[in-house]
Amino acid sequence: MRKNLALVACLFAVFAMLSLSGCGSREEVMVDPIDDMEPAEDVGAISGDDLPLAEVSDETVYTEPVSSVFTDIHFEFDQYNILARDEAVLQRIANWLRENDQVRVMIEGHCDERGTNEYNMALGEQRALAARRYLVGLGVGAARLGTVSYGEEQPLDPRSTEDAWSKNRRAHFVVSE
Amino acid sequence: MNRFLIISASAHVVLLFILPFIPGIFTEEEMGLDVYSVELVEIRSRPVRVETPEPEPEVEENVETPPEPAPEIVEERIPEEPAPQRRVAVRRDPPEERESLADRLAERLRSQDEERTDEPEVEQQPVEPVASASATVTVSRFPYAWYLSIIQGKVSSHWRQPSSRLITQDQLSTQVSFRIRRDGSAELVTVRRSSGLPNVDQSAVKAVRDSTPFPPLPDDYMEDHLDVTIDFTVKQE
Amino acid sequence: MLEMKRRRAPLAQLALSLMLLAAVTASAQVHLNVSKAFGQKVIVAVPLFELEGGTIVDPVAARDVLEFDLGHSGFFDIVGNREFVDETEIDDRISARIAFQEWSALGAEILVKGKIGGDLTEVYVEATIYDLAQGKAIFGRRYVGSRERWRDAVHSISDDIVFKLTGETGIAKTKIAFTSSVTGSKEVYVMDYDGENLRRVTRQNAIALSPDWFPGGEEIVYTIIKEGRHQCWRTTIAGSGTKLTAFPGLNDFASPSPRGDEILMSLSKDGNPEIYRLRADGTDPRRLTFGRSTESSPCWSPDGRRVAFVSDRAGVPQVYVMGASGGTPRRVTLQGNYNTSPDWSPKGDLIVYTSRVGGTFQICTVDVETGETIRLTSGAGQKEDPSWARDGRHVVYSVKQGGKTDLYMIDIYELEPVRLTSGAGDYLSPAWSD
Repeated sequence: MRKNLALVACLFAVFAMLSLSGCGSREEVMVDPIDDMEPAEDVGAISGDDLPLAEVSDETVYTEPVSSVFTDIHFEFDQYNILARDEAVLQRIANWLRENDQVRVMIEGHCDERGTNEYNMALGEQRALAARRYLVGLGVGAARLGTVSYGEEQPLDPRSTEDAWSKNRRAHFVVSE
Repeated sequence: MNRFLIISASAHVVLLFILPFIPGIFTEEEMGLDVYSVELVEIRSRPVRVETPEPEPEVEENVETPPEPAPEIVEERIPEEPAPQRRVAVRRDPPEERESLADRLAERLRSQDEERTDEPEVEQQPVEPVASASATVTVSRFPYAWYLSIIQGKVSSHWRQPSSRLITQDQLSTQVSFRIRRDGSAELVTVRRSSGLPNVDQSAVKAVRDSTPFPPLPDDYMEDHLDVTIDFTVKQE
Repeated sequence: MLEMKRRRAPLAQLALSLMLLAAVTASAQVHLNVSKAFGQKVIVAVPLFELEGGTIVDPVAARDVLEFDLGHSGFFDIVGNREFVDETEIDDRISARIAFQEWSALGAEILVKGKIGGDLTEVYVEATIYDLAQGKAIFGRRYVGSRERWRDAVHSISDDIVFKLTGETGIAKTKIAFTSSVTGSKEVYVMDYDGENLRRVTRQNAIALSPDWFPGGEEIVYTIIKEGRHQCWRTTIAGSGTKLTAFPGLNDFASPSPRGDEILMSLSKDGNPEIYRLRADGTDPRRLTFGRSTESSPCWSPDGRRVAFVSDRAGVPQVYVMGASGGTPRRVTLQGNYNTSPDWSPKGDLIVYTSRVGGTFQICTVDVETGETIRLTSGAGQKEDPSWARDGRHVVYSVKQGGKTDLYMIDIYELEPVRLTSGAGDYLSPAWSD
């Protein structure tokens, strides 16, 4: 945890320097934690995402020209921890995002049909948040990453097989500008 | 005056002693007096009429006509809804769904014909204590059978019997009494006679409490309360 | 001395007389015996409604509604043989009297005689209840309204009958909100509790989720996934709605407080799904839970002092109970390793929830104080999202079986599921109004 905080502190310093040097035209978004919130235990709280709504809804989502970068990552049944085999994918995404800092990403969390509809909505959110936490840990600005859970509402494969289920347990990245 | 007082007092005392033995005064069953007793089991087991009776032209044994005075029919208006409703046609379940209620009732009537309040012939290994199946209702001046059925039904369905492991005897019984007020609320819930096991007693009291409110006392029942005593019997079988 | 005695004697005489009088007059006393095997029901006969004027309303349908209401209340059994019932009714009408003994011979204790009259604009629905044992009427009621509202009129009479005969508040006029994608997008719908009168509430063309009622049965709160974000909305049944919240991440499982002035929600805006308490207009979120685990599906106790919710802090989802202002949660589900979707009974003692039992989701209740757990459903079919009726006796839930999901209701004492929906499409996420 301390390591993460130190890392983020460094990143902030880097960003501040970049802004000052005029590298980016975007205004740096300062994070205001909610007053009654406890100090962050992990990265999540720092990424307090309170962008005004209008900004998001004006954006258009375009089909991913970099679909080779933003591939789905997957999860085990009832779990939301990032699997070792997906770490390379997330690294690739983080690298790309650092190079293309005008882009924002909505991370979708999905579940297979087992589990109740209601709990799967929370589980899907945890999967999206896990991917986001990981990316922030790799240096991506937290304010650029949003999460949305679809629970079991939008399976990739509607069949009731192990194969279909494991495809459906995923986090999916939607890129927008 | 002295003499008068003594004679009057003696007469009163004598009367008080005689009183219990005069039939019709007290209503407690234990007094062994003439009580109006209704067996609910019997009412239920009247068979459903299988054939139409022969028409009896002259004799009328039933109570006549619509009751007088007819009860005042309270009228109320259904409030209008703000927006028109759009209805989606929904196919109702085929009649089998509703017949099941009827079938179940017929089944119940039939099975209650069969099962009586006698002990089962075969002695079986006690698994869980099954409560006794008797239901006698002792009534006096409260001829509302439906009201008593409701009390009995609610209290039975709310009664969560405690674990059987603590019951060592063949049969345990808690007697709980309470008073129903005019509006159906209950008060003075007390354990008149303990079963000896506090959790059995508590389950009985809880059953009564969970069953409130009871129905409001019938309109033409003149008194302002009804005293009820219930025996909760748990029997090993 | 003598004088004093002279004055006392009449008083003593009076006292003794009064004592005697008291001993003689006693109010009615009743002695009953109760056993488990005897869940007694009152048997009711419901003949066809009588029509005054033309056939403004189908008397068969009207009788069906009344019979459904009384038959499912949990206190009555309906005399099943309709042929005999209707024959007896016809005899009554021909002879212009009520043949009480004939009705009793059918096994009934209570008789409900209904009547419908009026014209195309305004109808009245009337019923009189008779105590057959005594051969007299107990009470009568009439409702007047537009012809389209005839069902509501019959339901109102049913509730009145249930209250008069049992003291309980009936559910005949209540509604169930749910979601369905029969139009292509998942929207919120409302129907009468008996499965009739389905009408669509939302037109968001998005994904509507987990509707819940505000007290009063007029407004619904729900979540929608729209344009890639979760939002929480509040709407009237007629369909006019406003957005309440649109925080980043979850804006889910909104649950109005018993007084309707606040809502509980699960929000993930601070990086993790937690329980928040907000004003009913979506402002002033106050966080109630802290930690790294997943907190979701909150609901209120009926006195508004406590909340129940789902947390996976123990590794798997379980139901916890906590003060409504926060504090240390106490786990209440003690059986099973996947327990979700709690709803707190209006009577305050039980929480109903979904539990995974051997691979299938079933509906269970747990006593909040004693921990006693009772399974309400069994067999195949995934049962989810239970919601209490206001009588604390009936629960509605969804059942997914054979590729279709429908809504069922169950009486927690009778334990016989009753299917409510049968149309095309799936019916999910039910919530019962009060």
